[in-house]
Amino acid sequence: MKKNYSIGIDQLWESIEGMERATPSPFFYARLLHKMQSAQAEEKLSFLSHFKPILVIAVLSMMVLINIGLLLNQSKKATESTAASSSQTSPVQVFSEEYNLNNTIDF
Amino acid sequence: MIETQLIKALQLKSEEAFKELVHTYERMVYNTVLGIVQQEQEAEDIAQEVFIQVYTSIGGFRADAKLSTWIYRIATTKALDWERKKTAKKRMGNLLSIFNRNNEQQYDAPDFNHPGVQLEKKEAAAILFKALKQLPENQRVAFVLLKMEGLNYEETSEIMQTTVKAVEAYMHRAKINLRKIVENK
Repeated sequence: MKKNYSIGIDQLWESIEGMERATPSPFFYARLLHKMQSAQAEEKLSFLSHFKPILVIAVLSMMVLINIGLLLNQSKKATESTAASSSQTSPVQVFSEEYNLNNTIDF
Repeated sequence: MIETQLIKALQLKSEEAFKELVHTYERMVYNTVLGIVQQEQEAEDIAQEVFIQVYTSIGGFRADAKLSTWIYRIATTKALDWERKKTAKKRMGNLLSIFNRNNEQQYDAPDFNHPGVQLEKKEAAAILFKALKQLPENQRVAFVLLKMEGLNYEETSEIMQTTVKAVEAYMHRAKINLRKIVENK
């Protein structure tokens, strides 16, 4: 439903003629300084923002992966060296083969 | 302190100069922002942001425009940015309320009463300010600078970075639109 305004547009237009400027609160400057000081303090601590949780998780994950990789590499090397040592002939075996000690002598 | 000295001192980050700047321009900035956002507490916060921006950007200020023109530009831009954010928030709130089971109602802000308006004209001014909120940004800025700040067309065109004719057109359309808005209520 339309309201029937008794005030005409010209009257509305004139209502702000000669209006005074609004004044901010008397503590405007003090509040502004406080805001600026806290913004500066925040800026000083902004280097901490580099340590975001996602970054911490990524670094930790990388370290865990590197550790797992190193462990797997070491265990592989260990297995290879055991296999190599088992495939090699021992000096005792070489000695016994040299002097035919393995052969049984028939009389 | 004359303007060039003030600018130089501000560029050297002088606290005394900054204090003088705030005391010289606080009413101008606050009144302009208040005319656009129509909320006293918000207007004060935005006005503070304006001075912070002036302090941090004064190094890049070229004296091809008056300091007051530059500050007006920052003030109107900040106030309009705040308005846009508020409108986007309101739209999102309305959208969410469709899915809200509690069906909570959203209430509009009460009518704005500008503290500088004479007592006998407060009712008419409140209607005018309410209608003003529905105007496009350019028309609203032109209205605030010309009618509330008492600037002339040339100064307003410099602040709005447009021609005097364009400002005249904004103002002409603002009057037509305000008439339409008020008559349709």
